[in-house]
Amino acid sequence: MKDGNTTRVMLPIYPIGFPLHEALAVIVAGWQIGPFLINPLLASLSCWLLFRIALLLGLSRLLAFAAAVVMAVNPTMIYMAMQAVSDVTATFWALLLIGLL
Amino acid sequence: VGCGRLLGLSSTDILPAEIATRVRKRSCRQLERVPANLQPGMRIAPTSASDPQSRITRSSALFAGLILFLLAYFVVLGKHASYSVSGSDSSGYANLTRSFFNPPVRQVIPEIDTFGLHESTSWAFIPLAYTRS
Repeated sequence: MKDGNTTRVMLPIYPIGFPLHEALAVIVAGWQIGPFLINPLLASLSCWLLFRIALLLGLSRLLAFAAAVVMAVNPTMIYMAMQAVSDVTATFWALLLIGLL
Repeated sequence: VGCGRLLGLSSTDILPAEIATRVRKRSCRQLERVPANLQPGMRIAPTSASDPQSRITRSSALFAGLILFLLAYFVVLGKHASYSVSGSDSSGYANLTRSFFNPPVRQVIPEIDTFGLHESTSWAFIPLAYTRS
């Protein structure tokens, strides 16, 4: 905004991580459904990652299974997984990072 | 009489304390399952959860159950997902994604020229999730 020309231009303020996922989904599945299937997919994978992390932490398989189910039926998780927003994607990458540590 | 004595040796002599405790507990559980009327020559059917084959079967069933559950979870979420964008978040991400396919990401606000307005009014035409450069 230092001169008159710059105020005629706008920039996105959101980070590009989730849009990159959406772009990949658009290439794979198109604009109609691609961007909206990212979060359901990553929510399912997040539950699987939580199951694996629980096993790594020494929980029994039954408790690890229970942890994954509790995460899956969490209302916030379900709500965010049905919207095209970055929360579930961030959860997935955070869990993957923890699992790889 | 402790289970360690029934085993005929002290497990803590040859194993770390934690592992020895686990062995002792498992031995106790196995002894509890031995029928009281067991006679020489009789065999105990391996039906308990301590049987390795039974444990593997149960573990496989748990894995299969989890995979089926997550597949169903994905289908249900995908079926009921919001196939539209609204507000600032999802529309902002979608606009940015669209910018990747139709560059540039840095866009001119067209209303300034279209309506012949002063640049100070540009804020009124900037969509959510965007800011003036």
